[in-house]
Amino acid sequence: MGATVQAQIATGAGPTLTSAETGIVLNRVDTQTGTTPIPIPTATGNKYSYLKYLALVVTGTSTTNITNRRISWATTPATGLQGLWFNQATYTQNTGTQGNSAGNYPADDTAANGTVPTGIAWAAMSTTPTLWDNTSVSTGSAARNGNYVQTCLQVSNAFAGGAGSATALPAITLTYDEA
Amino acid sequence: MRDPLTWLVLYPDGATLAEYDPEVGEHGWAEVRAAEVALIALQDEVGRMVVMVEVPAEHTAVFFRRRSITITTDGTEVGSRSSATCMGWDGAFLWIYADGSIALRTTKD
Repeated sequence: MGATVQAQIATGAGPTLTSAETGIVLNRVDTQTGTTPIPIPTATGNKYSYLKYLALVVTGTSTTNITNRRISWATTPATGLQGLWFNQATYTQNTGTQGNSAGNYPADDTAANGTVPTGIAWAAMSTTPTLWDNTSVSTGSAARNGNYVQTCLQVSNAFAGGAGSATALPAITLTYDEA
Repeated sequence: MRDPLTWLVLYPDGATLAEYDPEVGEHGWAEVRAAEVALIALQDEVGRMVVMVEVPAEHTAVFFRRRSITITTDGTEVGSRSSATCMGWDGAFLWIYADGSIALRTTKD
């Protein structure tokens, strides 16, 4: 019998973990949704969203174990938009400050479209599910199972979708193995 | 949440272990002596064998369910879920998908 597992998003100082399955927004506010947009660079370079911490959380326990936690885009995003992810063991609330310290979101840069920032070991999200945490963790506890996957959206000057808080992004897929 | 198909393994000495045993309870795959399994099967809710895979000697049985949760990024739409079952042994993986289709593959990915 499988565990009941929910994709959740961590926000606030606690953090507070709430279901992400009703949707999230990649923006510049430390909440699940909201309308504080990411500016679009006017010259070659990139700007970034706040950090969005996603996790798999057991809400109904079982005798199984979960491994092979992976993340991907459901479809390829528009040119000039790139998803970033990082295997994050420790939650640190968004500071609202740019930089590489825990809780900071990446600083604006002048790199070409598609360049992954180097401050921490960010990886680019693709449509191929990519491992973020392969640790085998029992579903016997109603708790977060495995590490967070810290995500961020990069917006480059190559994005031609126009301004606004309702830019369409693909869905994010979290995949895991349970046995 | 009980899956529609659950595993059952048979050891060479005739002993069995089932994921769901109405008299004993539930078992996780971690309880299986995977290197000793001779046969792995999927059974439906009334105990009928639906799929069986023989595990050659010197090989290790494999079983897991690959679950996916889709999170929408517009902040309003509810995402979706899917699940596929993988069973077999190191080198031959039989995938059973939710729509009933089956694929025999050489990798787990």
